[in-house]
Amino acid sequence: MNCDLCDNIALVHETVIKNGVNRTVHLCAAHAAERGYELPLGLPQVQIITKVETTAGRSDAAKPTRVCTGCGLSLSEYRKSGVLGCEHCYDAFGSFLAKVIERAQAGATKHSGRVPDDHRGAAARTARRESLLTALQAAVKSEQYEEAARLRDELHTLGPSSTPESP
Amino acid sequence: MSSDPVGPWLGDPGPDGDVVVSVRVRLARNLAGFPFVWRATDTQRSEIVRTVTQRGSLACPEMSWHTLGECPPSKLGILVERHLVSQQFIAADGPRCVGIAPDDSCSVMVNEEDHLRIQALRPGNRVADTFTAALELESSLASRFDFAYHERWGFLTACPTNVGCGIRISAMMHLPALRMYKELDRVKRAAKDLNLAIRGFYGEGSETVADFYQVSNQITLGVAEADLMGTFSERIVPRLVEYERETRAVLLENRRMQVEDLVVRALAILQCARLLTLEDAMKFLGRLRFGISIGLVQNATFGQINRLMLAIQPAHLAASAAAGSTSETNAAEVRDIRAEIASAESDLALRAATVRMAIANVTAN
Repeated sequence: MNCDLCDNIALVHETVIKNGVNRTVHLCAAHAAERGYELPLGLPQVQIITKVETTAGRSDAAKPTRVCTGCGLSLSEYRKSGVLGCEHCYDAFGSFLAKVIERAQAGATKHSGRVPDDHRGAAARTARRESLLTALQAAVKSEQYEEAARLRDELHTLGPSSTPESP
Repeated sequence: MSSDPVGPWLGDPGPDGDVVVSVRVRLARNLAGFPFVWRATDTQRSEIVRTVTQRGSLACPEMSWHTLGECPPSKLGILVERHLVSQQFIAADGPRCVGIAPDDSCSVMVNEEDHLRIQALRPGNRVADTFTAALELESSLASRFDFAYHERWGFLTACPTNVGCGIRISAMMHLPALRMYKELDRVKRAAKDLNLAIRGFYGEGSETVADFYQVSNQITLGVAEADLMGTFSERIVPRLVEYERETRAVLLENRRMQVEDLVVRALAILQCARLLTLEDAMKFLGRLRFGISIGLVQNATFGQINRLMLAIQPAHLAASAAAGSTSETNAAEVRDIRAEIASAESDLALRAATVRMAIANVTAN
């Protein structure tokens, strides 16, 4: 199924139930990220999110105010101070921060400098994982399912992301 | 910390000493497993200080570590004036410390805006040397710590404006001709386009003093440290140096008499005044530097003037008064002044005496 806003494969399916009426929106990775959904780097996952809204318009499940689980800083607190609370804030506020950083850093979107010794293996694996994901999405889109399966199996062998390689 | 009254790193500034006073390279790092400084409790901050001091002493045995809460105000003043710590660091509260190399050429602030602010300083236009020194210090420390690092964002910092390389390369430059010709606004606009910041003598938020400006990079992400350094050292600094020198030449061609008059008046005041405010002393010493660069002033070097500019800062002045005279020939004069050191007037008198002693042999054509 394609994204409602473009031709890419939809990875997130959001169903809003309001006043007993269902409305489903299908989003690709990029459009889902824009709306604040954090998609973990790894195997493409389909997320089905259901929001139930009351007649008063408030969600029963609390509307997700993003809070860093590492230090408890909320996104709104960060927006007021401009200073982050801990290393985990960078993942917690990922999509919002990405725009802030891109503006502050003249369009830069990722680090190109030195890599600490114990992260070198992980950086290479991440680069390989990203390239496999792009190829997988292209294969699915062009209905080359055998190639897609091969790429998916190779992704499996890389393992989950952000695990530092043991020396 | 060096007991030399003005810090040994203020040596010969080299061939570009007429425009470039010094270069500083600073790296921001945070320890994995702790909140960033402002979010950490005092207990956590104390633990960071303890950890960094213990392991830092193993990584860099020649450095001395000083807990800020235990430093007297006089010592804190010396640290700021030598650019070893920032004014923000002194003014903050909570557990903090600083590691300092024996020759004052490097320092590591602990619990400023980030857990570690590693920096190297050199006199004159020595960007590559300063860069290498800072990175070597960082490597020594990195071997003992787990720095907070992200595969996408690089070295993580409290403020996203520092994320990535966490590096700030800055040059302290003397730009009197550009200021006199009102070219500085153009320089600042160009600097903005090149993603450079231009700040005053004491860095962020400070006023400009005697035409001294700190020029530094603003971008820390998406580019390698060595490329940032290369651009700074091979394009940015040389262009500014050239621009200032060309403007000095134009100034001399069009307003020689006015310029010479400014320089000789400055020398006369510095050699004769009984009382000198810091502002005046810096202004006139800046003109003396200019006079040296145009060949008008003899028996003075840029290094000597740079050292004098440090010696007359408040904390350095007070330390020299407490320690004794800076020159045997006027020991009696300094002892008299020291006796009255409590009053503001004697502060001005001590500064004037210090300057008179230092430039007694300087002449102008």
